[in-house]
Amino acid sequence: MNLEITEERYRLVDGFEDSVTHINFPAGVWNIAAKLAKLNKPASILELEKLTEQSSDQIREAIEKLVAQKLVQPNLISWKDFVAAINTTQGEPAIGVQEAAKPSGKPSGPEFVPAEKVIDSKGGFSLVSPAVNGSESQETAGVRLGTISSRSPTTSQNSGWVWKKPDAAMVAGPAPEIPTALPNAKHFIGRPLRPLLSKIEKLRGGVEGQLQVYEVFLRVPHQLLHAEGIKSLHLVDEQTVIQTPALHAAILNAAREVTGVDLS
Amino acid sequence: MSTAQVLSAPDLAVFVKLVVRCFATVSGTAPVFGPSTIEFGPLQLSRYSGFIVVQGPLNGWICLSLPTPVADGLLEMLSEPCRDEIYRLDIAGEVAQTVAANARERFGENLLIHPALVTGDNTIEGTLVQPPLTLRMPFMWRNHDAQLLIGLHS
Repeated sequence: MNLEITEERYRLVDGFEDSVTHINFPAGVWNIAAKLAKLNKPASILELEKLTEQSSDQIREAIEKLVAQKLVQPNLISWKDFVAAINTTQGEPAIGVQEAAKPSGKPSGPEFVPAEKVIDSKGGFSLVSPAVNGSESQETAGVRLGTISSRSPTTSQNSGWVWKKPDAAMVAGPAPEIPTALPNAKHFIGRPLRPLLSKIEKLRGGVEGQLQVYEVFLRVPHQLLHAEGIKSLHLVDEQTVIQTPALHAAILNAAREVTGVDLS
Repeated sequence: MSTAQVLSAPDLAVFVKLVVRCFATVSGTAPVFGPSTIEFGPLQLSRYSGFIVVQGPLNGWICLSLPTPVADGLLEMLSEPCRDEIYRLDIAGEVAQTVAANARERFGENLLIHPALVTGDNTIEGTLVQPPLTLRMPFMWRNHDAQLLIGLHS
């Protein structure tokens, strides 16, 4: 699957111009809104990063603020559009460590050498990142190879996968500098919902606490919850991990509005 | 109570307390509430449901959804020998109506509380709309599960 398709995109809400009255932001936040307005189409954080001098963190923070004020919203697409987008890509690589390094199938595109699984000096398996041939940008290569997760300290050495920087000698041209994680995952790698629910509930406790959680979620944009695939929330043993910073920000904002307490 | 405060968590809790009081008064046994869930999809209602429609700062309904054993149990507590569909619908509506009347007394003009509506086929009342988020508060009464649902439009 092409990560560019699945990467979350944001767009200005309808009636943006009418909604900004009486709202003040630092210029950097408005700059992101301005870029979205100029683009006149949904854009990802990565795309915005290319258009501004702001870092992905600053852009993400700006997006969160804009989403919280309901000026920007995640771009939702139908299944039909999603399939259409998938079909327009060529040489569709599938999700996963090994397939991310498959040849793309594009006649004119950069060539990827399949990753090799090797045993490192400590006896553990490693995934040696493939040589990137040609002019593949550092960013693109980073996105694809960045999906390789580093070995978890809790997993055994024999079953873990380790990302290794490519050997410069194997690479035609300058070795790309590959980030150790996806840009989006830099500071937001998913946050469990349960602690947030607990904090909100405990502000009142008992039945009133549960009602307060409901009151908070009434103020969270439904689209964000749907986009996250949440069907129901169990107020005692909820296991959901929030994957999008926009939803996390919206919950915090709603909680602040309802309870007057900043839970961030 | 100011208008802005209507249907905050403490206000919604009034409905819960009124349901508890109603059951306790009729039967001597108060229902015990369990952990709630917020539902985003279709609701699974019990057989008999009494809906209290509210209008004000927030619009929606509060629903007391009772399975047959709970409806029969309440009829028994009221020394009502009949256990047919009409009586079960009647008791479900009666409990909801009692809660509505007490809530009306509590909230006064700040909240418009309509007369209760009732269904007997596990469905939401035909004139009502299910809001995107519904709070489902299950409770147990005399070893039978029932539920209180709060469906408000944000």
